[in-house]
Amino acid sequence: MVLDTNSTVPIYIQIAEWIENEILEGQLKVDDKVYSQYKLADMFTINPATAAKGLNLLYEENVLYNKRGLGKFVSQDAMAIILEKRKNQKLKGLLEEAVLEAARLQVNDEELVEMLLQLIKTNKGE
Amino acid sequence: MNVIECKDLVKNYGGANALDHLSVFIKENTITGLIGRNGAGKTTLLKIIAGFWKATSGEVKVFNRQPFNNLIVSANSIFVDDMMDFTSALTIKELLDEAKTFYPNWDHDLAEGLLNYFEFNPNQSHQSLSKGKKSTYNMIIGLASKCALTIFDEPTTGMDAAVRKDFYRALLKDYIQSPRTIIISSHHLDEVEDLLEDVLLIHDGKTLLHLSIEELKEYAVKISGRTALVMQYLDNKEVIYKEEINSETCSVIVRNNFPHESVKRLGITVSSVKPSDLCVYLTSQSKGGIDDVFSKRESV
Amino acid sequence: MSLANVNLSNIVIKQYRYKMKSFIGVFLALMVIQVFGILISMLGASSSGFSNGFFFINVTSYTANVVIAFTMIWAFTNAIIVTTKSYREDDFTFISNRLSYNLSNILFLITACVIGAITAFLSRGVIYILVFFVNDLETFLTVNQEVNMADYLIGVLATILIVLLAGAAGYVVGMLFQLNKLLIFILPVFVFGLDFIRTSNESTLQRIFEFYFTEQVFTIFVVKTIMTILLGFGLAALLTNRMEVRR
Repeated sequence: MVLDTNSTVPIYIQIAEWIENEILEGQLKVDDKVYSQYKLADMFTINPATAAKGLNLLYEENVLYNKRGLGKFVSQDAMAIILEKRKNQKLKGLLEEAVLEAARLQVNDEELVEMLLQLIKTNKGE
Repeated sequence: MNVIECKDLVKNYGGANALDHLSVFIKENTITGLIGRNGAGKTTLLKIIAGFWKATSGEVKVFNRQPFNNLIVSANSIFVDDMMDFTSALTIKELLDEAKTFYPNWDHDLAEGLLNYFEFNPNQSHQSLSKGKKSTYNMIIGLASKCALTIFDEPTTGMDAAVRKDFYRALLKDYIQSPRTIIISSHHLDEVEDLLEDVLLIHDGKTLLHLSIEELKEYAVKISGRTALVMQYLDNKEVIYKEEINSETCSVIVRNNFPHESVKRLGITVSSVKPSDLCVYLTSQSKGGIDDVFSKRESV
Repeated sequence: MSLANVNLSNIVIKQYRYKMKSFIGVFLALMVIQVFGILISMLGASSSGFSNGFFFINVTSYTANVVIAFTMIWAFTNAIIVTTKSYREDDFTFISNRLSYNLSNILFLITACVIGAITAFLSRGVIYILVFFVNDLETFLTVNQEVNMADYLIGVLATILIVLLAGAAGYVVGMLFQLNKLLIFILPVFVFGLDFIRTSNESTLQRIFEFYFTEQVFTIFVVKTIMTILLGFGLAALLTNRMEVRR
């Protein structure tokens, strides 16, 4: 993966999201050791402190746990925590954007909900 | 631990203050980007830190010592720029052997590996190298010396894009292998920002900002929308830069110290500001930028 | 990363060795100037002729004085060149402080001057041999007393001291130029001005020369020159100890 350095998303969050994706895709399983800050720094050509910040973010969210002197590992509930977080943050954020844009375009509530339902239907392959 | 401590540093140079009561502390084992406009005092600061120049007043400590004329500081620091002088009597290969005898932590394998990788003719003299090659060679000396304090002053002058990329990668890999304090001054914050832990922005010989790169990324935001709406909202905001587009809509850079949700709800867009742009905004003389010059002329 | 510890003498020796390699041109210049000096010396320093009607005798004496004088000029200019910016920057690219820079310069100059003085002294022999082969001479006399080893060494030592004196003078002058470029114009005016300041019928400049070169007692000459050389180098080192580098 290549980081999007022009993105508005800070690099350490991109690093955290990349590790989350590794977990979601099953590349990293429960109790697997996660890359060290130095390994990540080398992989993405970023400062190790930035990589450490990404790792710490996941540690604080209990996605990762610490083994002293050994590094960080994927926690039991990692998958669930990530899914919950993404639901709450990313999805909610996207929906919020949609609501704001709808207001700007003077799309009323019923119309918006209708559009959403339509999208869900198409996605299910109808 | 702080490797560098500057307090109230003043350097008078040609009748003006190149450094004007500058204070800064730089932590051990960090990569700091020194950013500033031309003439902001970047090189002056670095040369005082390296012990080449003496401060007019104020205090400077490197490794807890006065750097000027200090052999310990000299042995543990290296200053790399495009003006580095090497004797023309020796080849660039022989110069590496000389550097090896001087620097206690010298990494000869790294030096020879890089010399090879960048396809130098080892029998050339330093004088006969092109501008870009000189910079590349100096960078090799800077990395291989493995000094506890490594200073790069505009290290990529004359390098092409591919070499610059290789240089940044080499710098980072070497830093991971042997952590040390690195200061890199550059006009291209865009290119180096991922490597940096901290950014030191100086302007008119003073420290303007000294933050981690992540803090800098979140230091300010751009709010844009209908002019009337934005202007009304600006009342209690710390404005950094006004980027007026026209009388209908405008965008303004403000400190990022307010919740974005409420603003967004008003129909104002909030977007992030690239660190390199932010540095330009922060150091621009007038709050209107280059456009001001032209709009004033039009109104006359 | 723990700090590397270095000591002054260690760095001075490293800088000295670096200089011996990088200032190779200095020795090339020495060779050129001494060959030139030898050629001029072959013309003869003084010559006189007399005749008694049957024989015409022409006596020409040859010395290495011209070579030694040339070597002094070389030592003087060489010392000035060593103080210039481009040579100084070479030092401050690697580990250095002003003291180690001055000490390694002085060591280098002493080495160069000793080599220059010894070759200049030995050139006398070269001149004799060349004159012997080139000229069709009837008689070749070396008017030396018993060549006594001690005298020979005194000759070498005196040559070394004279050349070093020129080197030290060049070093002080060079460093003064580095401190203030205006001195490049002021200093020559000052020196030639000394020629006009007369207390007796000798100018001050003349008296300064006589102070060193007409000294009859060798040990006093040695003391005078060594003191002057040390004073010169010390002064130069002191003057430049606060100099800013890599401007």
